[in-house]
Amino acid sequence: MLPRERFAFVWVGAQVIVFGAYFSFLTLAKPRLSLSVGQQISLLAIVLGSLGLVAAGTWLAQYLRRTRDDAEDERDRAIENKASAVAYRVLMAGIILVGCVMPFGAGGWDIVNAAVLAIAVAEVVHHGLIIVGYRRGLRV
Amino acid sequence: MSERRITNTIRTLRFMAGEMTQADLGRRVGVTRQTIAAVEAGKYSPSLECAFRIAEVFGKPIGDVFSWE
Repeated sequence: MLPRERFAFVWVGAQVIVFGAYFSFLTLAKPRLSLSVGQQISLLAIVLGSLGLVAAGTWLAQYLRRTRDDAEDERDRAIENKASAVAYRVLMAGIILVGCVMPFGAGGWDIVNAAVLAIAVAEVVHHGLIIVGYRRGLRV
Repeated sequence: MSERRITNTIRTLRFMAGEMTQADLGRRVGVTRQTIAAVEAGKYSPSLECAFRIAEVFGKPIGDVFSWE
């Protein structure tokens, strides 16, 4: 398995865990109401986990770039371009929904969380398609 | 979209070139071993430039390496 593909696997898994936890928390705990100490700690852990994920992902990407067997070639670029194009459309659809539809029927935090959800879904689609591109092939 | 696809004879040509490895071919063409494996398996259609380079390594015209069936 290519380091780039391995990175996509790790990234998708981590995002599903972190954002899954975050949105489960939102759904179950109703944080707009008063939060207990335990809920505040959980929320803080999720936020710190997200920041840690970003930091670890950035470090891993730089590390992989330094390794010789991860030299990018035309197939890597083709897979990345295809995945980015689809993820961009997913993100645009989500942001249009958030920015143009939700303001008519939802409050501030719902809109913010919907925007975060749109970004998370776009990221999962992006890296999911990279995995599919390496696993099942890509015709461009 | 057409159901036709690009096939290749890279595996045979590698064998005829003294069982050249995918890594060696990739090095000579300027792509990774995984990309050569994907091209061989029909999972990736290489760029025209890459296709020409592969054909050049084997000293064959591009039509002898790739065909559209």
